[in-house]
Amino acid sequence: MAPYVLRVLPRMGVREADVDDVAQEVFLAVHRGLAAFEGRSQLRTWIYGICIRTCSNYRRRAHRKHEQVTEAPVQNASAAEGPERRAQARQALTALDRVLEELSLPQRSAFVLHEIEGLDMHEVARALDCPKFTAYARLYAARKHVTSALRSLLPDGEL
Amino acid sequence: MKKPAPLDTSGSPALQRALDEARGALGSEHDVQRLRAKLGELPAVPPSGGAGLSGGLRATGLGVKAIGVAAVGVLLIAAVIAFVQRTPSTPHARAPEIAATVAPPPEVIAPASASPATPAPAIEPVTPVVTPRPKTAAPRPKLAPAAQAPEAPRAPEPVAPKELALLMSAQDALEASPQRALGLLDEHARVHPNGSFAIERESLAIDALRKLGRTSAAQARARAFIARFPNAPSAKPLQRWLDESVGSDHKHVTQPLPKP
Repeated sequence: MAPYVLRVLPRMGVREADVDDVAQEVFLAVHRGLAAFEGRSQLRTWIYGICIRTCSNYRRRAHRKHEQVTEAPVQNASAAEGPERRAQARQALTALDRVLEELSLPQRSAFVLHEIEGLDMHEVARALDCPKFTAYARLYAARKHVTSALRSLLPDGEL
Repeated sequence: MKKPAPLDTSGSPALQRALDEARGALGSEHDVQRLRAKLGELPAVPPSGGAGLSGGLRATGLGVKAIGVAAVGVLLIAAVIAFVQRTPSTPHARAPEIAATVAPPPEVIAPASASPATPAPAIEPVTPVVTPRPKTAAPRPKLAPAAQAPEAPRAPEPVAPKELALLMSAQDALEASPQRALGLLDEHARVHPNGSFAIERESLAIDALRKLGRTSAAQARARAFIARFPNAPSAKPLQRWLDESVGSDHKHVTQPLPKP
């Protein structure tokens, strides 16, 4: 469970320095809620839902403290890639995080869960506790913004 | 179950690269090994704590935060394992229904922008070749965090934006004008009889009928809904409502009048 929790938190705007703390909140919430888990969704989907709610609380706290929640992205694997390609990939991910930051939390959640985490839309809807067509609407709106904003932020010639 | 067409990244290699990077972030060796190290150290610690615990922590240089992460993580993994073993009938085999009773937040696309005259904000073109992702019958690994790889991209299967817009219009109208909502839902049923959102449509229609005070029609539609979608999350609440409303009707009819 830990790896995909660790993957989703930064994409949801959790600062790298805070990932451990927020992951711990997620683990606690999962532990507390496990007995009440009804099995209406996949366990993983349910945990994603907890991640999203925990991130929402985190962002509210960060907002109250007037903190900037995004920051430079995550180091990734693929050491086999050359340094130039690695730098490009990180630059692209930094840009994606910046663009994701401009989305509302529900839109961001739908985009991250579907496009990055690979959840089916019915799972996205369950994780976000919304009707499926609302999940679709959020995804489409997020896609529209991400593609246009990223294009202006990173002209294709740069990468 | 229809799925959205995949995000079209053909015009934006930067986006494709960013998504690849984000999907691959699971393999971030630094993060995973750091957490795994924290989680893995706890079982070796004497349960009573004391010198062994503090000594171990001194040796590893872990702080209070790491203790919390490790303790909760190990506890959680044990709890999840116990839970999964306790419930052999995993939810994976369930039909993928979804409740439709939660009101959408205001940030969703405006239905007007997805009207027949104006294309919906679904930006992807209709993909001519449809290659559904193979559905494996086997459940996902119960607990294999280290080996859990990002999922493969989904199959390109578009959902009609107009269908989406119609349902959203109906939901928007539900509170202020359930009659109009019902009309839109009827239109949805007519235009998209085999659409992706039959469960949502029927749930909304039952809500609209209840708001209009058309209890008998709502009850009939609820019974049909439960028969058609017995595993939908909204089936149980509907059944409860049916039991209560029919029971109260029955009581009302059959309850003997109080003796003078």
